[in-house]
Amino acid sequence: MSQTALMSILLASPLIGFLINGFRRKHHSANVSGIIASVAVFISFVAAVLFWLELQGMAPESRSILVNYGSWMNVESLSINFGFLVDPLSSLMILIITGVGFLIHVFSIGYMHHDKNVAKYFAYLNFFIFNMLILVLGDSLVTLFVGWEGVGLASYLLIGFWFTDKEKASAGMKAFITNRIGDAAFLIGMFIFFVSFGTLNIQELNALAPTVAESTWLGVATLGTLFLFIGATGKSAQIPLYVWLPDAMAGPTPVSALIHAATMVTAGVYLIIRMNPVFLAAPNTMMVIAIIGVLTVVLAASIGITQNDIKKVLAYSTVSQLGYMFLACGVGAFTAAFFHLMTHAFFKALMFLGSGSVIHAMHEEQDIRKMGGLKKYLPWTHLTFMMGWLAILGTPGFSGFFSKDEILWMSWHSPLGHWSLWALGALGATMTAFYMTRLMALTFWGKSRVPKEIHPHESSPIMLFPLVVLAILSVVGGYVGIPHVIGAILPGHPENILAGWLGNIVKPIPGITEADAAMEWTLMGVSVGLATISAFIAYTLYVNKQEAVQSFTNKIKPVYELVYKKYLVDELYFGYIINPLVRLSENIWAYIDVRFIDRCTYWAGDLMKGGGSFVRSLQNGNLQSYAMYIGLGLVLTLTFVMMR
Amino acid sequence: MILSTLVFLPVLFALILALWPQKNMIRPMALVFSLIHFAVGLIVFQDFDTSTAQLQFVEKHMWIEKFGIQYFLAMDGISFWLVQLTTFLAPLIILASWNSISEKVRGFHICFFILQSAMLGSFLAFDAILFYVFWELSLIPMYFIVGIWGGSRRIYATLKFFIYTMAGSVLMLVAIIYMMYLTQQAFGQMSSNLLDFYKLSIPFIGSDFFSMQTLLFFAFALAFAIKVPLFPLHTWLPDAHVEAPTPGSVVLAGVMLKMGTFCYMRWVLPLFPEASEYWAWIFIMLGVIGIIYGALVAMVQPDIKKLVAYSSVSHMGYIIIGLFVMNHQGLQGGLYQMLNHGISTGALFILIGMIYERTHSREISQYGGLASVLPNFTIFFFIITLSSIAVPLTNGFVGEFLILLGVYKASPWAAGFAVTGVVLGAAYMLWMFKRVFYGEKGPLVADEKHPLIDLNVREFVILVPFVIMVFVMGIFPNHFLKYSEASIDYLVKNKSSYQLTIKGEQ
Amino acid sequence: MNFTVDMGDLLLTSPLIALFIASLIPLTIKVLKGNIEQKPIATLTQALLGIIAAAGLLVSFGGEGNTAFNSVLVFDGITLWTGLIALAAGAGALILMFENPATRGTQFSELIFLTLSSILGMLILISALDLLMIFIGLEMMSLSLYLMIGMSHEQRLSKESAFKYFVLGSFASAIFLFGISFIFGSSGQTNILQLLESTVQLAQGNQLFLFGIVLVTVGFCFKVSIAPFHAWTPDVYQGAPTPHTAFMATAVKVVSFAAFLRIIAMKPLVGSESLFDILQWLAVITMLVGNTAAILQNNLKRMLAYSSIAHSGYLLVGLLAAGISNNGSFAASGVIFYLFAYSLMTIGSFALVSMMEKTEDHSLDVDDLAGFAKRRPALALCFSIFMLSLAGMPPSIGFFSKFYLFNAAIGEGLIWLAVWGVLNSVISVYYYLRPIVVMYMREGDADVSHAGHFATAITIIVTAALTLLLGVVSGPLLALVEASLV
Repeated sequence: MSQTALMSILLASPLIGFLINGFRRKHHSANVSGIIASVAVFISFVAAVLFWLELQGMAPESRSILVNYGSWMNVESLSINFGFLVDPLSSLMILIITGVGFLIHVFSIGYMHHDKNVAKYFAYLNFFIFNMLILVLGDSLVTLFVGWEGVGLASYLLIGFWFTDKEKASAGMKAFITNRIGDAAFLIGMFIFFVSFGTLNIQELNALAPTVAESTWLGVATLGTLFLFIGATGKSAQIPLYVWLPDAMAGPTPVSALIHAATMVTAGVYLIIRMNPVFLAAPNTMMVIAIIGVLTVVLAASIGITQNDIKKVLAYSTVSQLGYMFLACGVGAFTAAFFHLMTHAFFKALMFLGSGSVIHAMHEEQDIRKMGGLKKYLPWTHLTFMMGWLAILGTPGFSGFFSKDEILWMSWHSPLGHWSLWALGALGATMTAFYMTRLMALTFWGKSRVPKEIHPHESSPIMLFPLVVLAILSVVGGYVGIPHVIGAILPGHPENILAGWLGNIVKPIPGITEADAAMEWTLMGVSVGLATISAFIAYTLYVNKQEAVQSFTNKIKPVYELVYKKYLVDELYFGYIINPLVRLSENIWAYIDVRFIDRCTYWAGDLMKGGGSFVRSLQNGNLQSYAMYIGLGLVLTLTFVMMR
Repeated sequence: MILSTLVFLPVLFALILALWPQKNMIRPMALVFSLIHFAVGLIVFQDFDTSTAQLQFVEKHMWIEKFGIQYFLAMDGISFWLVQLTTFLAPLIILASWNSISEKVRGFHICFFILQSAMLGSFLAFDAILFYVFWELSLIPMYFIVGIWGGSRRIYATLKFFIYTMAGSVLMLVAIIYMMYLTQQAFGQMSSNLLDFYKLSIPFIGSDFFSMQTLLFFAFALAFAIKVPLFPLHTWLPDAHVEAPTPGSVVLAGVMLKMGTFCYMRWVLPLFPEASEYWAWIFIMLGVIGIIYGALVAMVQPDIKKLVAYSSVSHMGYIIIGLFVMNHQGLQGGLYQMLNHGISTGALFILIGMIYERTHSREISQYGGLASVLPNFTIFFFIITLSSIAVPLTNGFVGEFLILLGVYKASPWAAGFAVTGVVLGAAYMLWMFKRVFYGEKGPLVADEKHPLIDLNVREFVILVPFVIMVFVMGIFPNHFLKYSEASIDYLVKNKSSYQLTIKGEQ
Repeated sequence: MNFTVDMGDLLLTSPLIALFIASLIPLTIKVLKGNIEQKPIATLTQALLGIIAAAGLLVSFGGEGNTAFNSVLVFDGITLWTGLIALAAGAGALILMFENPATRGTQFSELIFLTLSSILGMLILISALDLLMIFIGLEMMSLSLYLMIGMSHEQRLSKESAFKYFVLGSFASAIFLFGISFIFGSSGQTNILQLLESTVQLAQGNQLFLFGIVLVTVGFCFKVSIAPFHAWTPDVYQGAPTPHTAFMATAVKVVSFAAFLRIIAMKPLVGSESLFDILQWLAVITMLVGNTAAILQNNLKRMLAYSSIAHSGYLLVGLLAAGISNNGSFAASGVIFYLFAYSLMTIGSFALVSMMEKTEDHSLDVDDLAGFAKRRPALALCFSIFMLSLAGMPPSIGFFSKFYLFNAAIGEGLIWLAVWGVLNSVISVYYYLRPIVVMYMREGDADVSHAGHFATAITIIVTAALTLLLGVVSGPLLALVEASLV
């Protein structure tokens, strides 16, 4: 099969699925709609696998397939094609998207069974997959941007899927507009690159950028990448634009799993990895990314500790984990970033779907304070969720361990890193262990606090199947990237497969030195140890001694409240940006438009009328007056003419 | 003859309608006429040469010998799509007026066809006086359309519209006459031929506001700025839009505003190259202010139609800054955005008209939850909203992207400010969308006595072409851009020695 | 001096003679029939035939610049064109008189006599080549008018306005005559042909001559209602029966301007810059006064009166251009074309006003037009055309006449006057649009009589059609005027 045809199948399949379900959106059968949508994604998955196999068969240096559907926009020197590029990076990415996406579609069949608008739901999901593929495969920043905005749109639609609820509709809007702020910056970033390099093709930019390597703040590469990074903070929910993601949990849970955990939110990370030569040319940007990343890790994790909504906890956890990825990018460890992106896709999708299963079982109850002891009702869900828990904790041997450890190590070791980055990262890991264990404890373990009227039940096989597959991936997914130090002591000395696969994509960090194995072991031990202790404390506290927790939180109430209310960032944004802006708009409308500009118009009109009434007052019908005007006029005229 | 046919066919239609005996045949006849007109417009595709900036389909006859005033129609890449847009919208507008215009149907269609004529004439005229005649003529039918078939404050709105617009254009008339004397000085014979105007080199002294080129430049620019409308001359627009009947709003937003921006490309930039360049900052600044200001004010409008009207101010701001940076992307994007705005805002007004026909209210706060009652309507509204906020693969994106790119090339700061419009645009449109379509059912929507009925076949027929155009223009912009490519290229490269020639001569 | 009257003189003056004879016919018949009115239609026909005859004779023998009676009368382009306009306007006014309640009736023959005499005076005025002759024409025209207005059936207002008009008119005539005496005293001439050669010099050096010229100018300013000598206009226009108003607003204004043009053509403005300056200011004030005051008027006739003042302001701009022009007859032809256009629109507008007057005392307000468009769509359309044309909207003749006029002004460097003029036309839009708003956009029952206004309706439709058509094909017409003025 030709590459073009394969690409067409890959892209068109979800699009056709979208159209089919879109046009038959009045049908209510979840099975039919779901199967159509799932098959569409599965076909794409097969195509993605075929692409991957094809790349496998190529020489490592020449692994890239470009399919160009022709020109899109062509104005003078600006030339943008509908070009789609499959290379080791994007091939993995599309595998994740279609693979995890397919599982989530399958899960949705069960989860959305009772929803009236199920065809619409699946249409949106397919639409999302289509746009995500475009984002990942686009060979120029503009094509990428098509997908970039497209996934935002799909996200908007899916978050607001139950739009009759005002809160949910608002959440969708918030997501879109927040993303738009990032997108505006993204546009500026594109313009900077276009004006400086005359192209927006990613490959060309990657080739050209290193020539301008710079250390200033106002250089082309620095400014351009900074603006792109602002775009990335929008899409990937980093400080300061992360606020939309927790609200996005208003959407159906599988949506959260697919879009707000596994795929879309990683787009920002993907963008940076995609353009890593350009970012490497701008060390200042890298520094900013690392700092923002690690701050996000800590901030989100701390909020996660206090949240009571199962999905909110996971949402903040996602923000926090995305922070790790950015931290990795910021220190130049792009492979590690991608590695974590992948493992996170597995275990976070797993946990979201697991939470979906819990919510489903609890009849739409999301408050973990009303759960507890679900282990016995939901054995499969518990088991699979636990795999995810172990993975995110960084339990040695589970996938999260390898990727998170690599990030932490690189943040110390890389010439772009710093010990403080490591320290904050490790702190984040400790907090992660705490809140995830808390989540497990409150949900599945301990005594049941389930209200009497709810009878939790295990989900149907169609929902469990994806859980199991993702659980397996969460466990074994890490073995594609075994760190060197561990590989050295294992039998057979396995290589870091992922690093090898991405070797031609990811530029090495300039000035990196040989790793100090002892140091690496030490740091690994410290972070794992901290996480273990923290998880243990959380376990004891939340399974057995909840009163202690209660009294403790009461003691530090102000702090607790502040964290519980997410540091009041939303209130800050509303109070100091959005509401003033709305008030300002009302005022400029009232004062500038109505009271000033229109007034001026009326004033001009009144002036005319005033002149008219003056004339009219002279026009008194009195003959003598008229004669006087004539006489006066005559005298004035004569005076004027004769005196000059 | 094709251009004369295009321009005057509507007058003929108007005459036939005026004299036709049966009243109930007016609407169908008007529809058929507008389709014929559209078809005639399509003939141009066949012979249009995209490779040249020269004038095509030229018709030139002496009109008033003494002043060198000619009947001179011609088409080039700049006017090509605007003409198509005008004829494309006509049948849709007539269909949209099917129910909303229930009284004086004959009069309405006569006004509408005369308006078509005037608008096409001002796009195609290459003689200053001929152009001015069409330009001013277009006011009269619009004046009647708003004044007779409009809302409760229609008289206020239509007078404001008329006087505002006329106040701008009379100074242009003086400038035109002055330039005719300049041609007399330069070539011995007075002429109002635009090609002769192009040949003039009008003295320009940058620091002197009263230098001749600057004064002429502002006389023209003011006329067009009011039409566009450029901040702070925009206040007639919201009133006119709100009071106009649906078809009136559509023509106004769809085509009439374009006359202003189009004329910047046709008249101002090539005629006064130095002044345009020297004073470009004012227009870029006002354009940027317009983008932000329009968007902010749109955000807080309680009336949905007024919201869209202010959004026009914002969108037209983009076009202005695109034109005044005077590079390929800016101009192409500006021209493209003219078409986009015609399509998307035209469609928005039609949609608002449809919902107004059902509920007789445009208060946003009275709506809510419309999406569950009128799902098909919602889909169309949403697609057009996407076009309006420039989501990629819709037409709006291509225009906005090209404009912003072009502006960034010339003035990064302006682009930086203008880009906030991308965010604000999404904010006001989606906020409105949320309040109207999502959430609990509002009082109007939940009214049991008047259940709302989703789109009928006629309404589908109106909306589908818009949606098709939204995507076709978003996905295949090159097919549109190529028609104006040569003309814009010529404009950019020869802006200080802009001398169009007639195809086939020399 | 040896006065001989030869055949050429008689041929040249044959239009005047024809008109004179025609004016006597109805009256004679009435006397012969024992003071019993013949049918008004017959009277009208006789009068119209007389006018047509005069027009025919004027076209056949006039227009070549020949002088008659020892260079006292001249029949050049100005005479020809303004004469034709005046005759046509007179014919139009006669048709209105025929059907208007205030003028129809037992004294129709007398009215016709007075009207034709007035037109005769006009022809003398526009062909006069001697200042005294101008005075004679002026007085003949005016005296007939005073009587015409005074003898209306309408009781109060028309009498009052006739009186006002008479007193103020006499005042102005006195000023005019006074001016002539100064001119004669300082130059020893009253003949324009002879004055033509020395005016520039005299105006520069001779204070007495300048004094005379200013007085003459002021006299004309009164006649053409230039502010501040305009105050009689609104009262008289409103008070007089509508057909007479139409007559005054068109024919009288046209010929007054034509005679004014003759004075200006002597180039006193080239000689005296300060006179030129003050006239510029008068033009500015006139436009503003006319337009701003018109905004406030509810009475349709009064509004049209102020509009007529405003148009005098525009015309004065053209006149000034003509006064300093070295560019042949370009500006002058612009003025004449404007006069033509203005008369066309004004006759039409007044015809409609006349038509809507039910009784002789009825005074028509703008608001009375409410719903008119529904009742009489064709006439409403015509009236809209007049209004838009008066406002200067293309493609009507109103636009083109303004275009030619301001073109001439700009050509003479009077750019600021042109700018002022066009800005004023924007102001004027406000009140010209008001009747349209009322007719089309307000509900109401306009009181329209269907019977008895056939000829008036025809007049309205014909003038409306011409207003539209002659705009588009105005080029040749203007060329014709200009060619004949050389």
